[in-house]
Amino acid sequence: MSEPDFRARIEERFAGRVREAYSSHGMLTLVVDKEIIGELCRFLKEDGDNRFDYLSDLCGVDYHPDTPRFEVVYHLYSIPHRHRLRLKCRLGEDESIPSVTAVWGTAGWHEREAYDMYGIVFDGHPDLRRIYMWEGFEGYPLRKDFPVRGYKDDYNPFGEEEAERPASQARASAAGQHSKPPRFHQSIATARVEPEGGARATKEMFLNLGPQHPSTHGVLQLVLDLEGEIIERVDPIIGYLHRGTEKLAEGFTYTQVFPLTDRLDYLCQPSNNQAYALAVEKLLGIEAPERAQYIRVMMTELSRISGHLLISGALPMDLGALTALLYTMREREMILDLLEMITGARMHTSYCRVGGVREDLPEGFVERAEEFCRIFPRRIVDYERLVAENRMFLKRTRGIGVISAENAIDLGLGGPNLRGSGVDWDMRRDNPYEIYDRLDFDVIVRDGGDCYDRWECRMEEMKVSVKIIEQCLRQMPDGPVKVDMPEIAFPLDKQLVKSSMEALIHHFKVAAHGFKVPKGEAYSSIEAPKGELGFYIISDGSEKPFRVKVRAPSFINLQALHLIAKNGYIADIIAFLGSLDPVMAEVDK
Amino acid sequence: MELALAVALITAKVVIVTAILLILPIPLTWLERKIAGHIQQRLGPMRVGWHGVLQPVADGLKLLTKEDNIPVEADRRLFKLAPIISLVPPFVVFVAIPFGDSFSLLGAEITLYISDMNVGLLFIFAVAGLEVYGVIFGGWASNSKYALLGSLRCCAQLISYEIPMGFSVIGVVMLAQSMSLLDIVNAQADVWYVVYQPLGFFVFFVAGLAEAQRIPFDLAEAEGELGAGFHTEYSGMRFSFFMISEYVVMVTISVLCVILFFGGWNGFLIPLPPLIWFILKVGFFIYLFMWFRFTFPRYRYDQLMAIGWKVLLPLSLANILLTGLFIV
Repeated sequence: MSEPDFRARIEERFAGRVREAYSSHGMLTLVVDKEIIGELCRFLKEDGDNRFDYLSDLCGVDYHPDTPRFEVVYHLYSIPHRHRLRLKCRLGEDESIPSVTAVWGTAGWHEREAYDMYGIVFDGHPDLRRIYMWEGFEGYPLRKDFPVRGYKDDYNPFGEEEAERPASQARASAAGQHSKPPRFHQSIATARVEPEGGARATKEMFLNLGPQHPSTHGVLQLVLDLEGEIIERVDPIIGYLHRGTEKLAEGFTYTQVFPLTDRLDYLCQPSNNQAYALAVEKLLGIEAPERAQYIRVMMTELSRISGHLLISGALPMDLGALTALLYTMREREMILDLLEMITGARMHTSYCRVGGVREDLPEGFVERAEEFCRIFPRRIVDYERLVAENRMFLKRTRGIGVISAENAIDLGLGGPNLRGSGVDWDMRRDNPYEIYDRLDFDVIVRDGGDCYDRWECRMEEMKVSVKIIEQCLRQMPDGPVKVDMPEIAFPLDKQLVKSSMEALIHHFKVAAHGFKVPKGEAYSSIEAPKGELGFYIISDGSEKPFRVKVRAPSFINLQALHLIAKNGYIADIIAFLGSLDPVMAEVDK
Repeated sequence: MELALAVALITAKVVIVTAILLILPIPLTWLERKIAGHIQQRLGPMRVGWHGVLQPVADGLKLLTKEDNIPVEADRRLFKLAPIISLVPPFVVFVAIPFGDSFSLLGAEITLYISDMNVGLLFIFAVAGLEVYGVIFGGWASNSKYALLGSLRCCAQLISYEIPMGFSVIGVVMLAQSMSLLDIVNAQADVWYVVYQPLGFFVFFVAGLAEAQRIPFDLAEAEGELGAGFHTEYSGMRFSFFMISEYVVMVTISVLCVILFFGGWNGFLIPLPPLIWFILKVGFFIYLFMWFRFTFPRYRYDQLMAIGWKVLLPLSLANILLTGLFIV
């Protein structure tokens, strides 16, 4: 349906309740009353011509001291029609907004996050608790009047003085009925109590898996209610690694944010860099030169292999076959060497820049990369022989943790987790960015939706990535690797700084102050190894972003755990986790 | 005088066997780490001594000097008792295990076994079955959920695999017409029983893997799920008791495989001293255990039980039936 038709249709259905409709950086945006949000979302999801079946992102924004103060922003995506829509709702400080968890299951954690960070209350949310901050934390960190350093207490001696806490950051207990949401695992207190009258009663046991546990791949805590070896309920508790990336980004210049993005999914840093750079470039209305785009894509694909390698080795390792991990690490080493060659860093590459990449490829890189592309496909055969054809591995993963296609979309899964459930959606092909439309590659889809299919998707995607890298190496043109805009990027020729006054001034300005980005908002997302990695950036026209929201795929993927772990065995939860592939640094932001 | 000599001889043998078994984990851990390393494309320990041969000594010293930690809520008495209970039976088993026939020294006949019991096999199974107490005490006394889950799993596993294991050797007993291990080995002078009893051997070996709690049946200490299983809360020497016991069980299973199915110290083609043959064969089985560990993932608890009761048990029963028909 074309845009005017769509607007007309919405206008007709929700007459007078849609306050504004405009297109911003290629995305249609509707500003609506909060009362209709539930109805509108259901309409958008179920209406045959729109079918916005996928909630990409939901976040809060604080416009303090403007009123009404908050805004809730929804980013919708339609998998059948491949288009996007943004909904916005303003609401005042004491107002609440209807929850959309009934429309999209994935909204559950998104809304918890918005509640945790802004104190926005979602009516009808089944389990509105803090998600990153701990129970009993006071204040809402992402609000504009919350200091970056936090408030002084026993654990935070360098925080601001408590006396300066504004009324809006009042202690959580003042917020009324939402101050103490019911705790999930109340069985903790009761489990130890002897049954009355000396009678023996069976009680489910509760088990803390993590945050220090060999198989949770980081600091993830799972509270399990067990009936023997069967899991009755699972409650993932996250936030142990919360660093406040989004809060920090608000105080940094646009270029300074790059190192923060490195630390999200620390296995695939180039893809994080790329996603962020694309969002800022969208706001600026510029595009990186062709060569830079090829380099970025190549880096992202390299990092995709590196991320997939780790997890496809870690899953068998968690199931007891330690050797697979050591094999995949061997090949990952080659990738890290390549990354080191380009960027000088093995882990936190920070290689992208707004408008290109930091530097051109070093000499000899192409040969090394070609060598890797030659060797690597042969090594995959090793893994397949060791793992994929192993009956015990099959028995532990086939038919375990099945997610149906509908559930996968409802939960907002992404990447191999979604494609493993039979949903044929890959943004590299369906919403191509950079130079993906010039490349020829397959999208791997498996129908089973079990742990094995997710694992196999990753194995096959690695082969696809190798093909993409080969094509990039062949097609890559010569030319500059960053835009020729001295007010945004450092000059192409560094020597210029020594001879041209103009260049020196720009260099100094960019290095010391950064660059201004026009007022506006943009959402840009890429097909990161873990799924849709999106950056929603609001600019107020200054050198620093007003709001940066990271749509972290691992965070969303992890949410599916409670669904598939239920009624499974303890041993299976390890396979679920390994097949969902959450990177805790990205989950916790 | 003769009595005194006999007692002295037996004591000497017991001391030697115990000493060997206590020292055995040192080369075995080194081997395991080296084998693991080479299977996994690394070198394994290289720093302590030539190619890391002294690494297990360093590890042992470390374990000795570690703090001996007992959880506050643990049942202290049982907690201390458990490692000992789990360590003793694997050693006692070796009373009934022969390492060879006999040889003459200074005119006296010295046998290469401590005692040749006519119910040797029964004795071994009976004593080995006691080991489960160490595991269950350890898991229970720790008062930790991981340990408890681990020990429950382990108990269920040991009990359900002892049954097919016991049945699988009945074929051998029927063929040899004896329960004495010495007789069983002597009966294999011409043909090893693995030829007559391939099914029995298969069941015995798989059940043995489970009994030794090695991958793919190491559920009790599945580090992916349960941390370290029943010995999660143990540290220092108490922890190493469990490790030693695990290695000794592995050796026991290997030794039993060789004695029951692979002709014990009877050679084959190449004339070597019987003891060397014996050690070579046992070594091969130990290597097999390690090789498996670094190749396979582990089964899930319910799958493991299903294999034990639905596959191995019927197979071992069928084996008895077949052997009966064969003898008749």
